[in-house]
Amino acid sequence: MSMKAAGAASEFWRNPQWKSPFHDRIEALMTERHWYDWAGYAAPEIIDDAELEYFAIRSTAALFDISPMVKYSISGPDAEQFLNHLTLRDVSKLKAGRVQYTAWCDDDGQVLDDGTLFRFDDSTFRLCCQERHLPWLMDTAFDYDVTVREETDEIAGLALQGPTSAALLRDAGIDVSGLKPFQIAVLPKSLGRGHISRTGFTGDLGYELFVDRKSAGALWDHLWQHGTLRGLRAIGYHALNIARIEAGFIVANADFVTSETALRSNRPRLPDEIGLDWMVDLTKPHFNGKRAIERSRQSKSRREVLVGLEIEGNEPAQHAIVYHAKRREVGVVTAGIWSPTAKRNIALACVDARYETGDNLWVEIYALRELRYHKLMKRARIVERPFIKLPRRTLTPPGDF
Amino acid sequence: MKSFDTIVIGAGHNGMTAANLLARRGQKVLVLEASQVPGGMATSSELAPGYSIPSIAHSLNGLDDKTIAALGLAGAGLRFEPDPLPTVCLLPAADPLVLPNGYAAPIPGMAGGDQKNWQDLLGSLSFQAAILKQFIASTPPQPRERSFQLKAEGLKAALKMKRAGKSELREFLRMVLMPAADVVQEAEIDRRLAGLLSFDATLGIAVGPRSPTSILGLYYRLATQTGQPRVPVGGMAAAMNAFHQAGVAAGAVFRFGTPVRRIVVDGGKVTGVVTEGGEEIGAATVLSAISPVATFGSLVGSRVMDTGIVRDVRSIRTKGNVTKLNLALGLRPTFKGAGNGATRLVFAPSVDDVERAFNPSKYGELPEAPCFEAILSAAGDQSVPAGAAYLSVSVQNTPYDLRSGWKKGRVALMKSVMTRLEQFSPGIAKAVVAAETLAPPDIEERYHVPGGHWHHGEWQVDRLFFNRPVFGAANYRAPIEGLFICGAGTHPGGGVNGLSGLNAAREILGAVR
Ligand SMILES: Cc1cc2nc3c(=O)[nH]c(=O)nc-3n(C[C@H](O)[C@H](O)[C@H](O)COP(=O)(O)OP(=O)(O)OC[C@H]3O[C@@H](n4cnc5c(N)ncnc54)[C@H](O)[C@@H]3O)c2cc1C
Repeated sequence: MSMKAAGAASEFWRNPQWKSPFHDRIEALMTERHWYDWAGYAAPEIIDDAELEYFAIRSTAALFDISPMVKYSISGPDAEQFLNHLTLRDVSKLKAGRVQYTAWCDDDGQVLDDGTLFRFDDSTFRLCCQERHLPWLMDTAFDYDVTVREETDEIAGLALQGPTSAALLRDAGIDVSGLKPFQIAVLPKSLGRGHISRTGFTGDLGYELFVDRKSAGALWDHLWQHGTLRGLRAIGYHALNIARIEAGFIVANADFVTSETALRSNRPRLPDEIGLDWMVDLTKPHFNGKRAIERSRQSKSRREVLVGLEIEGNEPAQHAIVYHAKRREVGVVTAGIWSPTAKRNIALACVDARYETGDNLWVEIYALRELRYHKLMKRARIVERPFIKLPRRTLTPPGDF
Repeated sequence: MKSFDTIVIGAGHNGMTAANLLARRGQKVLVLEASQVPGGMATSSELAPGYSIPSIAHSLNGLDDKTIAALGLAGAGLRFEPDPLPTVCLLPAADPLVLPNGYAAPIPGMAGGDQKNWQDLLGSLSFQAAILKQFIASTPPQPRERSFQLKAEGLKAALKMKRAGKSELREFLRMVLMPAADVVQEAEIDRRLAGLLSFDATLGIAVGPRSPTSILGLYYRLATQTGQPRVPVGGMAAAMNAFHQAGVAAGAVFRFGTPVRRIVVDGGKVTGVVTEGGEEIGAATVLSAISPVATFGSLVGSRVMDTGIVRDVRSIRTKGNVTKLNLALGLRPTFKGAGNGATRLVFAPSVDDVERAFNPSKYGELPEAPCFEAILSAAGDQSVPAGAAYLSVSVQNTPYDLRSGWKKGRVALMKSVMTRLEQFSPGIAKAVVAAETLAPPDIEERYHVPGGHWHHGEWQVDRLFFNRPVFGAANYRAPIEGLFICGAGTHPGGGVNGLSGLNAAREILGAVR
C-alpha cells in the first residue's frame, strides 16, 4: 500500500493523538489550549479557568470527557469465572446493574491496574481502566468461553459531577432519583444506546454516561442545553485531579507504577502496598497473584504503604520527599495539593511500611519564590482517606440543588 | 481411598529415578504409568516375533555411574556391552572414518596435525562442559518471590571458572553461544569430524550447525555423557526393567496401564490425582514426570494457574523433528568399519551436509539427503533371533508439521534412508523382515508426549536453565503447593540421564523436611 493509497490513515503520524468524540466541542470552549495525552487521546488539562472548573465540581456541575478511558467488553457464559480469575474481588458478589471498583495483578501479585467493572447482566461486563491490557486479558481468557474486545474507541463517556448533577439530569429527561451509588441504569432510547451509572472520580454526587460513539455529540449538546441554569461547566484534568485527591482516589502510574510499565524491577506494587488490601478476596479458589499475595502476607514482605498525609502550612507537597525525624528518607509524596474544600494541605504518599504508624514524619518541600528555593521542612501526620466526606455523594434520592 | 506421600505420574526413566530415590528415603510412593511397560521413550518393543528393538531412544546418553549406583541399577540387572561403542562415520565414495570409542580416544590412522586439532578442540570443550556439569546436575538458581537474586549464584559460577584460569572463562563466554559450524571451522578439524560434531550438536534440536547457539547441544552431550553413549545388554527394555525393578526394591509401588487424567488442586494445593478410570488417589505431593505442556495444559488446567505462567507454558515449542526408523533384519548386515560389537553408524559427512539437511525443515519439508545415526546390534545380541540383527535409525530434521503430510512422508523418508543404507551395505533392503517409521506425530501418540519431541520441548537458549520449562518453575516446583515436575522438558533436558528425576527428588525431600 503506497502512502497515497493509504489516504487519511497514513496522515495519522502528523498528529499522532486520537480525537475523542467530544473533541470539537471541547476545543470550541477551550481558551487555555492546554492539552495532554491520555492513553493516546488529546485530553484537556484546563478548559478556561482551573479554579472555576474545580468549584463547578463542588458547587454546581462539571462535565468531563472520559472517552479516552480504556474499555473492554467482556461477555459469554464464562465471563464471571474469567473475571474472577483475572481480578482480586469476588465477581459473583457483583449483581447485574452494578459497578465494582477492582484491581488485577500479575503472577507475582503486582498490580497491573485498577479500574471499574460494570455488570450489565449475568454474562455481559465492561472493564474500564487506565492502561491497555488486551494481550493479558486474552491470555487469561484462553480457556474460558468468553469474548474480550476492546471498545475504547466505540464508546463515548462523560462524567457529570457535582451537587446539581442529579437535578440537571432530571431536567434533561433522565430520571436518576432511585439510582444508588455504583448502580447502573439504561439511558432513554432517544439519547442513543447507552448507560448511566452513579459513579465518578470526585467523591461528590455524580454520574457517568456511556453511549455509542455516533450518539456522543447529541448527548453533549443535550446536557449542555440543560446545564445553563445548573451552572454546568466543561472541565479539564487539573480540576478533576484536585477533587480526586480530596476524595483519596489513586491513579495508576501517578500514585503507583503498574507492573507492566515499570522499568525497574522493584517499582511494581502489591495491592497491600497501595491501600488495595481490602479488595483481595482470599476465599476465592484462585485468581492471578493469589499465591504471591498470600506468601507476601505470610512472610510480611510488604515494603511500602500508601497513606494520606496532612501537612502543616499551605505549600503543596507534590513529589516531595518524606522523612522520618527529618533525617531518614522514608518515602515520597505522589500527589499533594492545598485542598480548597478541606482547607488543609493534603497529600498521598508512598511510605516505607515500617513507618506506617506515622510518628515523627516530615516532608521537605522546595518552594520556588522568585527564583529562589525556600526549603521547607514541614510536619506531616498520617490521616484517614478520604480527606473529605460529602453526605450528598451517597444520599438517595439525591439532593435537588 | 488409599493415600501416598508422593504420586509420580509417568514411569519414564526420570519418573522412575525420582520414585526410587523418594522410596529409598522412606516415602510411600505410587507410580502411575499410562503404558503397559516402564521406560517411556527409552524402551524396546517387539517389531516382529523374536525381535525386541529400541522403540525410540537406542542408547543411554549420559546415565553416569554415580546415578547408576544411587539407584541400585546394577543390582537390578543393568549391564552394558563390555566393549566401547564405536562410531562409524559413513562417507559417500570414501572409506568410513572410525572412532573406536566415540570422543574418548584418539582416532587411529589420523595424521598428526588433524589428530592434534581434534584433541585440542575436544580438550577445551570437555573442560568447559565439566564446569557446566555442575549446573546441569543441580537445581537452577531461582528468582525469589519478587527480586531476581541470581547475582550470588552467578558469582559462584564465575568464580569456579575463574579459578580455572582467566583465559578459560573468557574463552567459554566467547564460545558458548556460537554456531557449531564456526567452532569446528576455527579449530580446523578434519571435515569428516566437523560433520560428526555438527550432527551431534544438533540432533534432537531444531537448529542447524550454522544457527547461532548450536554449539550448546554439544556442550550438553559432553556434560551429561561421561565418555560416550552406551548400549545396555538386553536392549533398552532390559535397562528400563532394571529401573523398574530397582524402584520396586526401593519400595515404590508401580501401576501400569493407568493414565492420569487430572491433578486435583484445591485452594492452590495439590490433593491427589484422578485416573482415566475415574479413580481418585490422594497425596500431598505429586511429581509429574511427563511433558510440562501436558502437566499444565491437560492435567492441571489453566484455570488454577496465573496468566503469566500459562502464557509461558503455551509458548513452549514442542514440535519434534526426529523420526525413528526401526528395522528388523534377517541377517546382520556388513558395514565397512563395523566390527562384531554394537556399532553406532552416523551419516553426516560434512558441515554442509548437515546444514543442507536442516534447511528444508524450516519450511515443513523433508531433507533430500537426510542425516542420521543408527545403532547396529551386536552379533549374537539376545534381543533378536540367532544370526539376525536390528538397525535402529534416528533421522534428523523431519518436522512434525510436514507440509505434504506424514502419510506420504513416512514412505518417502523410509525410501530415501534405505537407498542410502543400500550404498553402504548392499543387499540390506532384502534382509528387512519388518520395519516401522515413527514420525514425531506417531511418537506423540504412542508415548503421550505432545509434539513427540526428543526433549519434550525445544532445547534452545531461551528455554534453558532457569527458563526451563518456564521461568519460575525451573526449581521443579509448579506454582501450586505440593506439585512438582521433572522429565525431559525440565532442567537440564532430555536424553536418558535421569538428572531431572534426581534433582526433583532432592527438591521434594528438601521441601517436606
Ligand atoms: C527419536 C528420538 C530418539 C532418541 N534417541 C535417544 C538416544 O538414543 N539416547 C538418549 O539418551 N536419548 C534419546 N532420545 C531422548 C529420550 O528418549 C528422552 O529424552 C527421554 O526418554 C525422556 O525421558 P523422560 O523420563 O523424561 O520422559 P518419557 O520417556 O517421555 O516418559 C514419560 C512417561 O510418562 C507417561 N505418561 C505420559 N502422560 C501420562 C499420563 N497422563 N498418565 C500416566 N503416564 C503418563 C508416558 O507413557 C511415559 O512412559 C530420543 C528421543 C527421540 C524423540
